[in-house]
Amino acid sequence: MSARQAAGGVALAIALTLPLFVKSPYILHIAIVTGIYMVLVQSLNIVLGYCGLLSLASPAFFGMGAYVATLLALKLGWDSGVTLALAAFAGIVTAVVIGFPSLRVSRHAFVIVTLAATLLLQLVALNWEDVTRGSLGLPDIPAPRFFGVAVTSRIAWYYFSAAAALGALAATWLLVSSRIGRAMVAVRDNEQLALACGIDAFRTRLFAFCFSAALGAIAGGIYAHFITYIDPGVFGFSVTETLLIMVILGGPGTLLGPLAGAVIFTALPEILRLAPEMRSLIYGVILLAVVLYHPRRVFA
Amino acid sequence: MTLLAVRELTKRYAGITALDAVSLEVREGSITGLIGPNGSGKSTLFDCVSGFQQRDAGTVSLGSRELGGLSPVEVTRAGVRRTFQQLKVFAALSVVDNLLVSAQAAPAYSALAEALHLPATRRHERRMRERAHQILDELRLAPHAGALAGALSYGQKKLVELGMALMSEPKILLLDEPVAGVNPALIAELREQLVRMPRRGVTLFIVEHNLKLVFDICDWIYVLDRGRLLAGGPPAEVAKDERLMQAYLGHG
Amino acid sequence: MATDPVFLAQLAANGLSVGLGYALAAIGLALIFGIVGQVNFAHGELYMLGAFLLYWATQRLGLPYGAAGVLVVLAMGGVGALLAQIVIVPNLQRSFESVVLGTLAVGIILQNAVRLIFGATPLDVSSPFEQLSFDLGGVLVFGQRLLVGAAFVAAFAGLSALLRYTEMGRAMRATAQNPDACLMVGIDTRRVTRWTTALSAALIGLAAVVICPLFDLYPNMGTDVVIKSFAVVIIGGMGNVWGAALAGIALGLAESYAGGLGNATMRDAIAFVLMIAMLLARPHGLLGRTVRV
Repeated sequence: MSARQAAGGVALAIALTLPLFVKSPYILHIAIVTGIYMVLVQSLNIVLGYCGLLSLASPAFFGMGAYVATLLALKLGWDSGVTLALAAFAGIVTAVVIGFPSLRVSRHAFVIVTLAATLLLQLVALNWEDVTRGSLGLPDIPAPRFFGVAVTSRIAWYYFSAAAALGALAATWLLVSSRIGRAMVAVRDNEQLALACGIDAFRTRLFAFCFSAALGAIAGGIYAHFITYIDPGVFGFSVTETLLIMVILGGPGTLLGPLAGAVIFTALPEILRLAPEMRSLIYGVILLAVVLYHPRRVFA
Repeated sequence: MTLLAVRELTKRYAGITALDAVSLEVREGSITGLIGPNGSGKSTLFDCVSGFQQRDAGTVSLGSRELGGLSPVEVTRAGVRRTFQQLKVFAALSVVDNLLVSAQAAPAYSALAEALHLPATRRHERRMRERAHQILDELRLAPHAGALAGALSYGQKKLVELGMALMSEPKILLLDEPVAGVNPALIAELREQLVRMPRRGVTLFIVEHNLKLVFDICDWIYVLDRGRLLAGGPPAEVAKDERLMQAYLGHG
Repeated sequence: MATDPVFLAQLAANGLSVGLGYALAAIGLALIFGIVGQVNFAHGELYMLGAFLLYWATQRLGLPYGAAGVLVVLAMGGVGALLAQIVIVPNLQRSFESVVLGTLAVGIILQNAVRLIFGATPLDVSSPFEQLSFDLGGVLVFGQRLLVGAAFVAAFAGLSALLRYTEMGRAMRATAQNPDACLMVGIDTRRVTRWTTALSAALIGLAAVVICPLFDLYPNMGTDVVIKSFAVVIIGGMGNVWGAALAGIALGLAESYAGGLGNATMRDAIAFVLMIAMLLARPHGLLGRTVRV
């Protein structure tokens, strides 16, 4: 057993038994949010780390998932297994609308359209007051319910969040260790050669984008149930900043690196108690520094 | 029997005619060579045949199938495989994975089935892996199977490139300068692999500057000069053709 | 009421003036993409910076609007050159995503720095044109909006002249056509990049100077500009300056009619819808990708 496997095993053991020796509600709250970020981070990792595409659409899927899951829970009261699945489906549809036209054209178009879509969805959430109540947001989101059992206590939430994080890790592993995963890396590494090998770069990227959208949307749905209140801010750009830092500094194109990034960059801002503007400013400086001094890190 | 037929192929860039009504044929089961000085349009011809560039006029057909207008992916799936003048391998993938990725031209299963690792896809993957290891054994690359392709020497990468081409079992293989920059020992090894291809069912169409190799292994040789086809015939005839000398010496 | 000709004419006038603003805001972006082949994701924040510099010059330094405006445009040119030197030039040889991420990071830094310095409370810049308005047969036109139109025409004419008659302009056009050939004829693409980015920043600074008195100033204001500018550039043809001009005006008109005859959501969505439609139908935009003047 290598050192890294041992470390991973220890981390897993701690993660599984954390509520037994940590009772502070505050720390458990942070841990639950970290779990949600662990799902989100794999979403960006698939597109940025493994496909080498800069996507600014994470908040689009996150927010889409949040709103769809919330509206289904509030209006129809369905089981969360169903609402989260439908949220994932909504994410995939969004990915097709964004990705199909833009990936066919060029990577420039792709980056632009991912940003534009995120901004547009925020505008729609603000203006479509009949459905989303605009800036008032949607409060009193019920707890998630699976086969009649609700997730209410903080400890239950902790394990739910941990399960989601592990599920996202497993799903990502399935994808990247398959032929599709190999194709993704090939297209990222040398697109011309991939084409000459008969790999459809467009289809490969679109599939990965949709897969990542499903994960992002599920993260959004879970987040909505946890925070019990959402507003158009879920489409905000700060999610993108944070995810970029987590993935790029954690290790893009690896399975566990971004998870470490998620842990560090959820805990650190809490410990340092930074004002949001200050935190964003620092993230901006870090990203600029990475681009200037470690550019090869940006794309695996 | 003609496998690849190029008729009146023309390609123009801003003011320059890279290919001028070039017509040639590659017979099935042959090793056909394409030679000519730098800038004569050889790589452009490959690009037009393989879909990486669109032709301005003329036709390209593989058997009865018209290749003009197809994308590179479609051309590859039709059975045409090409290498590039500049050596290309997937540096971030292992040698074995390079070969496996090469065999993905015809996706056997849907993307979702692959992502879920359904049993049928796993069996298919095992079979592919076995074949890849067989090819690596033949090329004597087996010890490097798990190494990242980017870490290999130039000569070893050339062998990986060849392995990738073999793995894909194309009907015709367009090789763009397969022995450029390679040491003589490796050239001999590559030569052995190349002459065996037709027996494996792969027709070869080779662009090369190494005239010794070309005249050694080719059944038929075409000469291109400044976008025009100068000569075409068995090596003995082409060697005697004065225009060949002119083409090469005339450019210094 | 929807078919009232004066109402429709008013929508047209509004749309035209807004569209000229979009066009002015987008030509800088089109320029960078056409000549350098890069997308500047700090474009919106540069607009915001121009607006806040104008605020600072007029409200804190007490300069008159005109003088402040000129200074801001010049200062923004300098900012553009700096941006090129620090972020774009070092990354010219790398994947274009490096420049995207780098300019994105600069945008994040600028926005949050302004937020920390000026706070999030909306600010206002006053201009002597704000009080002017003209009544043209029932259609109301504001003086500031006319200034936007005039600024656009002047900028476009100036840019065309620069591209056609100056040495740098010729170098820019050559770089747009064939960046590799430029090295052979001795054109320094780094110098061209710096000048192009400086010019682009000056143009967006000009846009900020003439447009921002119409709205509130807040650190997030660049976001709206960026989405509209991207839409315009894609619709008009990435890198095409004429295309950006036409597409800007077209978008302004489309939004005005969508908002006037439909609702606010339709108005907000139409830029995105047109962008997607253009990518699907005609990926190279209305006029294709070349820096044509």
